[in-house]
Amino acid sequence: MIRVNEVTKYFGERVAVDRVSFTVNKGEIMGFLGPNGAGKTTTMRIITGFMPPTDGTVEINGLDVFEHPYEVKRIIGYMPEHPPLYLEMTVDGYLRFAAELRGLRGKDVSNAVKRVTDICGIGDVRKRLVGNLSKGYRQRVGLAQALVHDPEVLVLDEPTVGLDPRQIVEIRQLIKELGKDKTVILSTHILQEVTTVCESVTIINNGKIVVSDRIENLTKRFSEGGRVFVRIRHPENLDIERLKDIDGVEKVEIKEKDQFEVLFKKEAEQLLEKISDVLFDMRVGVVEFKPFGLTLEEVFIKAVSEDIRYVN
Amino acid sequence: MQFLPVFKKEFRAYFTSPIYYIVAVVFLALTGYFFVNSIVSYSNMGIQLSGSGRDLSGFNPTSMIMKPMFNTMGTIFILLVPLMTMRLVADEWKSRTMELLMTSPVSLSSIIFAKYLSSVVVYSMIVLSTVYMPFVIDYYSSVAWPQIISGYLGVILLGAAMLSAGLFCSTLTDKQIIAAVLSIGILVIFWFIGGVLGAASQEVSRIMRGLSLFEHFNALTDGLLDLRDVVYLLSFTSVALFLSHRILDIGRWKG
Repeated sequence: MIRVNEVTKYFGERVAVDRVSFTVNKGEIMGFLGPNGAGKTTTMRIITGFMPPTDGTVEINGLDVFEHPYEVKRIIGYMPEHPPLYLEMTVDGYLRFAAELRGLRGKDVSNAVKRVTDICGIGDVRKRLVGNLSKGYRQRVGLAQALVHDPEVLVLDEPTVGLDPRQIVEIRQLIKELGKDKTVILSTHILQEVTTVCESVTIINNGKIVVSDRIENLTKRFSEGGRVFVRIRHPENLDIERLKDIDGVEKVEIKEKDQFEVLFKKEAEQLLEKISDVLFDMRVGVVEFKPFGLTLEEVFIKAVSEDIRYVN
Repeated sequence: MQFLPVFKKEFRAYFTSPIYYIVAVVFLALTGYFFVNSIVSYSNMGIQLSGSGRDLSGFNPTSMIMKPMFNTMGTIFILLVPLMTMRLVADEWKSRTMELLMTSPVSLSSIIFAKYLSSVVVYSMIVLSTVYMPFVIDYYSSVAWPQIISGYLGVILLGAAMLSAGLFCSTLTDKQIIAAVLSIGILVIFWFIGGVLGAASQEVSRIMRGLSLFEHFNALTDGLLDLRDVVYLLSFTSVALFLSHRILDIGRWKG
């Protein structure tokens, strides 16, 4: 479990992270979102004990990171934004070093290296120099390094950058798998990644947390309204006034002759049912009926552009 | 804690990079050349002095060949030590691997000491590969072994001090070349500091000589194993290592 408590970090006069608090539970994957320069990397560096905070505390499984650095660092796997690779080492040599650095010895080292090269799909490049690998492979070596000591807590700073689409899917699958019995923080700027991989999301902007909640609560809470897209075959039968008269419907926007959107205040299933009943009654020949909630993308834009704060 | 993995990694790194081999070859070639030179001039002088009736008490191969050899080694290493230490920490900043080291259960002092000790070991290996010299002399003539041992101790302690200064410079920057130039500067100053201000005043010149690496090293190569010289060289090393530790700690705060 990771508990970040009122963490503040100043670089000179500039505040990079401002009283940030959140909790990630065991078995949970938290998506950490924010525009560039919002304080994501700084927060992660503080969590992993790379740099001390100006104020506030970080606890990993109940242990303070700066009072028990060695115990805590033993159970954290950290993959920085730029994988920390020694280019003149072989993949095998590098991972052995990373394993020994975390306190593994003897046979455990070879077993650990074998295990992570298998799950990260780098078994075929083990004897090659890290410096001769492509970006995608380097990225995966960086991930293998974070996993080599089988840590309980994983902190991943943009792990899928530079991978091709198939690798991205594989790595996401892997992270999802790992997240079942570990505590994972996943920083990213790809919103789709958060919706497919994470259970909860924290959005940071200008060093402050603006949103922190489970994903399903979030989209629900933020949707102040919904809309439904409709395409019909017989526009001549359409009576827009009848749609507007339905209780709760705010507006009908005509897109094309045969396409329109109905906007309503509160997203409610009964309301959708009523709209479809009315359309059926008018015999307009509905061929498409697509309701929209607020997507995470819209939540994100809202969160970082407007001055809102919503922390559960 | 976790000192050994870092030491092993650094030690191996010396042998996978070409710089170490170049340093070793250049050092052995230069010292070999000076060794042959001083043997030739020693025998020439021997011929001139024989039968001249002058006092020959100081004229022996240990003080006429080996003592200048130790000085030569020290002087050559002013230029070579920075090449051996420049990448030690600078490279970790540059390749961002410092993040790996500092988020692993390894203390800053172990990181620094492991890096430092690996450089001292490879340095000593180069220095000790010149022990063929006293043996060659001893085969044809004879050497004063206690002075030879004191001399090698001097070269290694001098190296320990110079390497620590080089390591310190390497913590200051992420560019190897800057670390190298800076440490050459520092070493040259500490080498010559005793001689330059000789005339200024008695007191100042005495303090300057006290700070000079060369003065303390010189006493050891004379075979005078004085504890003060050993203590000076070891303190120089400790201060440089302590400062390196501080710089790394500060670097962590700045990120």
